[in-house]
Formats: sequence, C-alpha cells, structure tokens
Amino acid sequence: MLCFYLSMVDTENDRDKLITIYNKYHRDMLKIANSITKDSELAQDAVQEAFIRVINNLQKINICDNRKTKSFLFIIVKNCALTIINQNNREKSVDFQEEEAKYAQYMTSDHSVNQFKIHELTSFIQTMPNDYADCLVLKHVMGYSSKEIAVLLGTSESTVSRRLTSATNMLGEFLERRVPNERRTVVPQLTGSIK
Amino acid sequence: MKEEQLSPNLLEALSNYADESADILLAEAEKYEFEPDASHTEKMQSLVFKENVPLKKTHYKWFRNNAYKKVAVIIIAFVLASTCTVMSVEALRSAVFDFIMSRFTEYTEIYTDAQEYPDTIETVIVPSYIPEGYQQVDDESDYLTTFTDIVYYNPNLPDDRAYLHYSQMAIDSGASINTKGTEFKDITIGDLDGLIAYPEQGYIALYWSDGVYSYYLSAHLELDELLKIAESLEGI
Repeated sequence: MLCFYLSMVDTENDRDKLITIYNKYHRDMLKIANSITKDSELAQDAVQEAFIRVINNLQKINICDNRKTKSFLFIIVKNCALTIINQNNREKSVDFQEEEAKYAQYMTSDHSVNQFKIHELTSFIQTMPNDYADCLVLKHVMGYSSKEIAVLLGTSESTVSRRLTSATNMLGEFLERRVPNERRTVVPQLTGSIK
Repeated sequence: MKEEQLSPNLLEALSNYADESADILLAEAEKYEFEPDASHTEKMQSLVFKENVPLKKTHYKWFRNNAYKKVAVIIIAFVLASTCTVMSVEALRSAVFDFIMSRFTEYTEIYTDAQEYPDTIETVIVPSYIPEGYQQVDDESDYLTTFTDIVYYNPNLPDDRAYLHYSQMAIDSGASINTKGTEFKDITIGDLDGLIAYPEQGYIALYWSDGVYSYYLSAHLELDELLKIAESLEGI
C-alpha cells in the first residue's frame, strides 16, 4: 500500500513539497492529533494517514502560501484524528434526509452577502459545525471538488455534498434573518422625521 | 454553485475562519507535551524520503552498504563540536561545526543533534537587509515554534525566480532538501561556518548555524547579495 502511494510522488517538485511539509508541519500535526486523540499511538497513526492523504494532493498545494498550506494540513490531520477516535465508537449511521439547497443564491457575489462585514461572516462560520465549515473551506478557498474532499476527509462524496448543502443553508438562513433586521433599522434613519 | 460565483466577502470570511481555526488548533495542541516514538519517525521518514531507512540513526551504515549504488543521497549533518552542557552563547558561537557531507541519493537531510540547546525558537531572528524589489508575502515567525519561515517576493521577476526564502530553525530540528545535482561548498558567513548549495534549479542556498539556531536562506541572487542578507540577521 505504501509503495502505491509513494509511486504517486513522481515529480521533483512534488518531492520537494512533501519534504518541506514534513520539515515544517510534521511536528505541529503530531501535536494537534495528540491534543484531539489524547493518545500518542492514535496521534501518530492519524498523522501518518494525513500524510498519505496529502501525498495524493501535492499538485494542488502551493508551498509558498504558508497560511493556506497550514490550514489545509491542519484540517486534514484534525479530521484524521477525529476519524480514528470515532472508529471504535461509531454510532449507527443516521439515515439523513436529503436537504434541499435553498439558499445557494445567498453565497453569490450579487446578493446581500456583500452587505455584511467580513468579521461578521467569519464569526458566524465559527459557530457552524466544524465539518461543515471545513468542507466549505476545502471547496471554496482551496478549490477541491466534493469527490476530492471526500477522499481527503475519509468520507463519502454524498456526505460531503450533504455537509456543503447544510452549510450553505445555514449561512443562507443567517443572512436572511439578518437582512430584514438591517432594513428595519436603516429605514427610519433614512426617512428622518417619519414616525 | 460554481466556485467563481462565491461572494468575495464570504470567500475572505472563509479564509479567515481557516486561518483562525488553524491557530486555535495549534494553540490548544501546544498545551500537551508530546514526542513521537522512534518507530513513527522512521515510518514518516520512509514515507517522505522514499527510502526505507531511518536516516537520522543509521545513515552512515546505510551509506557504507549502499555507496556503490547509483541512487545517492547527500546527507549533511551539522554536528556541534562541543558536548559541554554549560557553555556561554559566545563560546557556542565560536564552536567549530563539522560539516559531514556524504553523497547518497537525491535528498539531503540537515540536522543538528544538540539536545541541550533551545528546542523552540525563543528569539526570532530576521534579516535586517533585503534587496530592493522584494516584498514580504508570508511570515510564519509568529506561530511556528521550531521553524520560522519568511517568504519574500519580487514582482519584477519571473515567478520561478521571484521568491526569497529565509528560515530560522531550532537547532535540533531537522531540515531536508532535494539535492539532486546539487554542489556544496564550505563558506564563512560573518564569523560562522556554513555551507553553500548550488542546486541544478539555479538558485543558491545557504545553511549555517550560530550554535543556538540554524538558518537557511535561498534565492535566485548573486552570492554577494545573499551573503549580505545572511550577515544582516538581527533579533527582534
């Protein structure tokens, strides 16, 4: 299995990237995995698994973009650690009802989302379930497809799609709730003396 | 929904979330002491360096047994000459470093093995001189505790020649580079011994240590200019 993955690191550039990632982030990834699993053996397994997943995606990593690389690696190792600790404690999977994507229009550039300050949006995203927000980041910030995200996070494509839909709807509901409020407070100010 | 349609505000908010989450994760992780097992290190090195050998422990033996092979790695070890545990910084600075260069395959491991020295970066040291035209585009000095990394970019140069990388490393942290087709020479940086590498990609890389930290600098620049940067390091 290892040989299979190694055979995918077939360019000098990818090899350089992998070595740089190892040198710079391996220790931090271990710390993160350990803080999640509270078990050194499981942490080490998580990091090893994370590196294997990273190797599959070296072409997309821009090693010069430290912050994006760091975020990407930490998302992957966090999910590997969570997957490992859940493996022995996995609840019977719930048959989720397919959720309709009602709010996709709220994410687009020509809608009211641009009325919101970035820190407001960031604060709301921080309140979302981590796996939802991670999927959004991997898709929109890092440019991975649902299929690629599924491989990176060790889950199914349908789960990723469901998380993306749910995340989009959560954001949409947040924006929709906020927009009328904004208008209610803005209108009297604009109309001056009108009561 | 297509990616290009995403609101710029939302995209920036997602990026901010990703950055902040990473920082929070690491800050939380720093609360726990953790050292990996030797077996993990060996597995990871096998994975990353493609050679099924624990480089740090057995590379000399491995080299002796495999030197005839075409596949060759260059391993450079910065070995701190002194084993004294109570030395002043001044004494450390003047300590002689033995640069052991062994040609193996395509990769190089650079590390020091001096456990008594800071294993995290306590004083961030950065170049006070950077050539005109370069702008700092990324700085990880504030978060990486064993390895700082600053990237400078010169928009007037083609992308493959535009980057200048500077790193400060805790002395016992390893660093590895691709050294296929690389030539190495000894060099003096200020009053410190170092190594200069000329990889086939055309840039120049410097490695040196002051006995407290190790440093790395690389760019597509003339050697004189690179040395000027290296000699301008100052603590902040």
